[in-house]
Amino acid sequence: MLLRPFSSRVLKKNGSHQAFHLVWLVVAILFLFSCQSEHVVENPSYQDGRDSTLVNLNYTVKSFTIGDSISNLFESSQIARIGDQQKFLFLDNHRIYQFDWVSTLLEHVIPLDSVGSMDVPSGFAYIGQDSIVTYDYSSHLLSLIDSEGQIKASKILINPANGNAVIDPEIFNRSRLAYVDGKIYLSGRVFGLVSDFSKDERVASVGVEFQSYEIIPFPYSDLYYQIPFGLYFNTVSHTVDDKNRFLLGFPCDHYVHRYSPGGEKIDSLCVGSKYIFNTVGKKPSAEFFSNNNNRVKAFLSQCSYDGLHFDKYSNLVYRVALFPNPNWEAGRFKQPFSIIIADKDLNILGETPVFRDVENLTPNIFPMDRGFALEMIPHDENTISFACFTFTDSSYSSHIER
Amino acid sequence: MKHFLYCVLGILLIVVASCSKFKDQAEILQREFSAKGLSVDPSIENLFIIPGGGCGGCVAAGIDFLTENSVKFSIHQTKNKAIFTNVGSIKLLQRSLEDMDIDSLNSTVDKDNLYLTKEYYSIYPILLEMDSGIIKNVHIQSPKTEPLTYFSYLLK
Repeated sequence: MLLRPFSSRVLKKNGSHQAFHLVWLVVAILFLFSCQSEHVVENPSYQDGRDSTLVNLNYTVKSFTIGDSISNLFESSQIARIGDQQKFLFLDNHRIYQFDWVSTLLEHVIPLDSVGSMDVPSGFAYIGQDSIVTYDYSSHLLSLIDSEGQIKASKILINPANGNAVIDPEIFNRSRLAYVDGKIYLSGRVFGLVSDFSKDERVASVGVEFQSYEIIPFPYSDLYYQIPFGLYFNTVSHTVDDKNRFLLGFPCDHYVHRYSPGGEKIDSLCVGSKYIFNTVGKKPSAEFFSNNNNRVKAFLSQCSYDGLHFDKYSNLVYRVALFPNPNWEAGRFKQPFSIIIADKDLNILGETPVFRDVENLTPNIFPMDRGFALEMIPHDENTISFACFTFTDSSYSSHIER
Repeated sequence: MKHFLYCVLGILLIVVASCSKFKDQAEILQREFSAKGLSVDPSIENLFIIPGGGCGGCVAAGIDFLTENSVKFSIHQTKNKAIFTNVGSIKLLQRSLEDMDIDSLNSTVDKDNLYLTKEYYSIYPILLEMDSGIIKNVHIQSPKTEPLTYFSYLLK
């Protein structure tokens, strides 16, 4: 249609038509280029002179031997305190495995046969011996079970208004299922572009009141409804802080957004990496969507943000910043990363770069007493290892203990 | 009459183009195999490459194809061989094969990802028809192609 007016017959017929069509051509070209244009989101806290000595980089390693049948590629996991002991729990093959953190021995297996297939990205939150919340991805089933896997209550996560799924939650280590004060928090990601939708049409997370089944939606940040970011950039990270405020972070957004438990927006505060100058949004091409490897490569080629975790031991918030890895070909995503450490009011205290050990460390963080553990990249199939980091004594007394 | 001739010409063009596409795919992959120094035993007539990641549904369909033809891929024959590439975990691979033991198959776990072919092919299971160690035809298990079960007859 666009080319038809440019047939030689038309051009000869009328000179003003020629000019008119030329204008059309210019407009069309401009339109095409505008579709390809990049949206740069600058980071206000770039190159902040913040402390990078909060964490002692010499870590100790804690390893668990898991045997022949359990896999060490888990997407839902937790380090929970049971009584006065710490336990490491993770989901694999329709079961939750519970290991003692100190002895590293397998203590208990919670069968999940009654709560769905529990394939990835399903997940759980261990609250207590008689209260474990599970979410089955394929059936949208939320369940409350005891430590023997017996169901105490269950609900299918659908919108009572129209019978559709509220969101499509995915439980990954970056956005663990959270259960606080009777409310379950889950996050999902929009496939395609959030900017194609309004806040009413697509949200990032929901809070579900288990008793009343009240569903509270939490939207993506305004940035996402304005700028086109592709699939992996739609991933949502969340955590719940000491005042039960719901904190949301997104890969291309330098800000963390806080909400009241009732769903009212409180504020948005910059928790950006001092190493990230900007993030970039660009409408993905058809080629981008047609090949998963292209999607992964596009994601790994630029800076972004990952997990957001509240540390109840030290009242801190951790946010992971990811840096480009142009050499990825296949397998596990490996990226250099740093950990931004903020106090509970989201004032940034420091940022610890974990650049050097990208072959060993993953950004899967577990808050611990006076430090945190990072899941390590396994080099054999029968072991799960953690790098245990502690805060330096001086930083703990000057920043954290106050 | 004129229209009829155009139609025939058009169909011929489509057929020729589709044939050349198959040939191209085989040639491209053969070139990649040669560049990597990969040689396939001349006795192998079908090489089935299954990636560990990529198109989830396609990989699952590829595993189903293998399960349904487990006898034809058995370790007791040499004409059909399976290659598992881009394997994140042998435990998870074995789990996906359910009752079928990896060791019961004429198969290789490609730990160095040598058979992880470039770009488009790397995310789909592919069945390569071989002729004296040379790739003759490529059949892809993808959402846009015929399911591999259509090609079960190739397995002898």
